[in-house]
Amino acid sequence: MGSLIRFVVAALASPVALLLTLPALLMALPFWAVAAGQRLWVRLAGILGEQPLSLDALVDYYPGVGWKPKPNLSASALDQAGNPYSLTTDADGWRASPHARGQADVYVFGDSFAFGFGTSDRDFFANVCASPRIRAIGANGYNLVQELMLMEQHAELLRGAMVVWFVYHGNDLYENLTPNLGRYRMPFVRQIDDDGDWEIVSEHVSPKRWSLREDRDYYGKLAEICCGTPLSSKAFGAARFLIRRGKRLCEEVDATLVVISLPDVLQLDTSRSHLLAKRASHPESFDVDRPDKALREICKQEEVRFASIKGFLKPSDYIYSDVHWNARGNRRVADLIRALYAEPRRSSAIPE
Amino acid sequence: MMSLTKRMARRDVTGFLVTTGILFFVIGMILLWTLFGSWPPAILASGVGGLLYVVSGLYWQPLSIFAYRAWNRVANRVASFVRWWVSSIAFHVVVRVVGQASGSKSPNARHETRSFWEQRGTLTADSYVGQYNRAYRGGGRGGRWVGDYWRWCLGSGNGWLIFLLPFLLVLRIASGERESEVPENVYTLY
Repeated sequence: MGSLIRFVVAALASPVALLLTLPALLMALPFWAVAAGQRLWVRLAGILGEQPLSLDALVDYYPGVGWKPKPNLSASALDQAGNPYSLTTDADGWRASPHARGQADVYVFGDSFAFGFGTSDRDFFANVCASPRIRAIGANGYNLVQELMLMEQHAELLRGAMVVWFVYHGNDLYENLTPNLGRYRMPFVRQIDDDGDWEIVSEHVSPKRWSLREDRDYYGKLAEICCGTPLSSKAFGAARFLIRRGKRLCEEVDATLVVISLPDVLQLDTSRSHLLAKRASHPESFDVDRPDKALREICKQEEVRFASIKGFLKPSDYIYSDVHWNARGNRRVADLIRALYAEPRRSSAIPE
Repeated sequence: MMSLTKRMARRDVTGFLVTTGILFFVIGMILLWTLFGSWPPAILASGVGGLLYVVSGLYWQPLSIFAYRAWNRVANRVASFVRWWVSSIAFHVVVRVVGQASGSKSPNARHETRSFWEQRGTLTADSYVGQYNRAYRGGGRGGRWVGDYWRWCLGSGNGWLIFLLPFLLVLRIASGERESEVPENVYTLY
């Protein structure tokens, strides 16, 4: 009987209550409509638009180095925010540079920044200036070890040229020390004695899937590298070893090495850098510019030209919700490379 | 569901501009018609206005990002108000009234001495993943919760709670900010 009474009372009260909610529902209606319309648009655009390639589909296994972009690609991919961008690769798999089909004046080695992640071909930094002729050799996710190996493979090509080496703080410094990136195996460096000697390890690199799953906390690692921690000394020790090897290689082929330090957008954006500081394991020693300062010092000691994009790029030069450059950021990086190229080649001066 | 995605990819922003453009066109058309009493100029003026809004938003990114963020901020506030309003109405007008009408079954009733404790049997190991109302689950996730809820109302002897379903649906639609699809650590290849 009780449950019947409750049922009847609820049946009567419910329409009254629904009537009372009407003003709030009317107020919400435009917002529902816009949110639903936006979802519909995004879905339709996904169905009707060009189907972007997944990041996995962009690369092939490459012995020794781990992976390499597929050659002769002409495709669309998505940046981290989900924006599509067009990309083409040349016969070697590197991002196509119409101005540097043969010999280039500047060779840029790096990771996704050198690959032009998130940037369509026409806005890619290597394509926005005809002089100097820039050719970028890089792929998503590379560490400095892979880039050094590619420099060694392309040594003859680099003869007499300027070699720009991008060092992104977000993962490069840490992943020089790791044997994998997700399920992909990658070469890394390890310290072999206390005197600071290092060696490159690549025996484990194969097409076989790396079985250990982990969620890599990149910003956590970057925050740790920004502190005076064992990880930061190890990361900078590895960077010194690799830069020294790169310098030696460039000298052998009469090329000039320039290291361009690429802090993460979080390190550039003063309004957000506290988010990184919050993750620091030793907040008292946290310095958002520690990687820049350490790399500058390494380059000074190794007599390698050095430049940092800090102070050169602004947060607005980055894709929203992504760590990579937008079209304007790419143009500014091209300007920086052009300015570095115009300076005396053998200059060990460190541009500010 | 009332909020836009925080991701703000180009498609998201374009979708927002087009949808709000249509909304402004409709509202503008109705307002202009009430002012001038004639449809053609109302349609023309609001159409041109809506189109200008969409085109300028597409070409001037700071404007569209500003509009997107502002809209989302207001949408979240409205969603929060709607949730408060709807849950308050449902509680005071339905739940409390039903409670008053059936005092004898209330655990707080003065003369009620019987325990409402219900003995549960031993559970199987696989049930630890989701014990709550397991008996009424249709095995589904996400959108199937309505069916699960319906079965639970009927199966547990709380049939009157079916009348709360419209309110739960409204609360579901008025949920807050959508999860960002960008992971916290955004530098990832795979």
